[in-house]
Amino acid sequence: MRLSINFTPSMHRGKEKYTEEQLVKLLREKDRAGFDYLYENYSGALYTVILNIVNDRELAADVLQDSFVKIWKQVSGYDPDKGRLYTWMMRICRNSAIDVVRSRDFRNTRQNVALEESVYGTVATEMKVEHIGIRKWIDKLREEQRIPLTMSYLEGFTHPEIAQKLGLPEGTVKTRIRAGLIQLRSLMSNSG
Amino acid sequence: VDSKEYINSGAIEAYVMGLATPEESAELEMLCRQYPEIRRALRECEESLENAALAQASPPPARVKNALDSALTFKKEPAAQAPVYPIPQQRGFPWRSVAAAAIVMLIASGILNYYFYNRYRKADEAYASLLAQTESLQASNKAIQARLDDMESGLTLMMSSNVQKVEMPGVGSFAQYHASVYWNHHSKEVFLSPGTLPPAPDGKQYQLWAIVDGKPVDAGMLDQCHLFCRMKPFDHASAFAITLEPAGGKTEPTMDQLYVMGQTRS
Repeated sequence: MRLSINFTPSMHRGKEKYTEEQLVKLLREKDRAGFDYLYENYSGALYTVILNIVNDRELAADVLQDSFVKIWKQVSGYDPDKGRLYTWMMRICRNSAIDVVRSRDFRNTRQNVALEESVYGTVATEMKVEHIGIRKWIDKLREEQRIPLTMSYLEGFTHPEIAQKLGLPEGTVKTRIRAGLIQLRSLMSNSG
Repeated sequence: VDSKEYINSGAIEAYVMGLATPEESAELEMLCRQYPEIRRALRECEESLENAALAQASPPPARVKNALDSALTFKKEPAAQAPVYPIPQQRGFPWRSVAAAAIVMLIASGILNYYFYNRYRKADEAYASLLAQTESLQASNKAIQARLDDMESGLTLMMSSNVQKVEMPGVGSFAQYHASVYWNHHSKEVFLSPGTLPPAPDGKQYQLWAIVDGKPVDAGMLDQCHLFCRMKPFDHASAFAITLEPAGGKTEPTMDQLYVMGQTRS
């Protein structure tokens, strides 16, 4: 029930098909075919991850470009023992996106202090959001899970920060986020 | 740690989503090494998230790929992918022959350089010695010229009609010697020609005397005199005589050393 094994990703459409091990080796060798394969198979998924956070297609494209440069330069530091290549890349993209949102929101809140007092304390959530990717599932969660998980995953706040903003004990925030994550995974596995 | 409880705690999901604190991440990584089931659960969670994300892929603008293609540094394409043209063996530029010829020419040039340098050095030395010879010739030429000038002026004086030649034959045991005085009445100049007088011994000098009013008067010492020597001028004199005296001369002639003597015409 946890995992839909029969899920068929839209990848491996290219002529070549590499295992993750082969792909990492090619990337470390700075191989162009390896990079083309990586981009073709992962750029769309990573673009969605970034878009979920920055809510702006042009800005998301810039962040994606920067993220791929980081991936290209840091791939020698990727440790396959600690996790899959996609997990590693997704973290790089998410961190880059949150950094951009943070600096953008910082500028915006300086320009318009009133916006600071919105529900989550950020501007991004006030904008029209695209209901794709993980946001699609997060939005299906109950509010007590949805709000801290949005603040944590999409806005990059730490548990103590969320606890302070929501006026909840830190332990409660952690419990609700983890419950939300388990729920989220279940939703993701069932939707396909 | 109860691995089943841990797997169901949401800690793995938090880790995969990047929401775990560094301490939580370190704990999970450690547990993965200890509990294969936790490791398996982590992999399953990762695959689940990855597959969901791939299903939600939205294509980014084409400019991203274009920018990356020019921004990233790729290793060079394998040579096999580039068309390879065989290097024509026959028609190519004859580098080997040209190189060999160049080396031969270089060596020949080196030998010639050495040869010409030696030639140049010898010529330079010869030129320097010629230059020195020319200088010494010029110097002796000048000296000769000066002596010639002296003799010419002396001869001009003696040829003058105002000059009286006073022959001084040898006296007594010195009869084999003779000398002459050339006396210009007009200018009063007196020149002596040593004639056949032998060279004066060391520490001695010939002294010319003019006999004026019956008394000998010093007319000068003979010094390195070849043909003519200018002596002291005299207004009038009845005779001239030469004695051998100690170097520097005396006020009175030493009569037993009277070599030659001659009367003037008055």
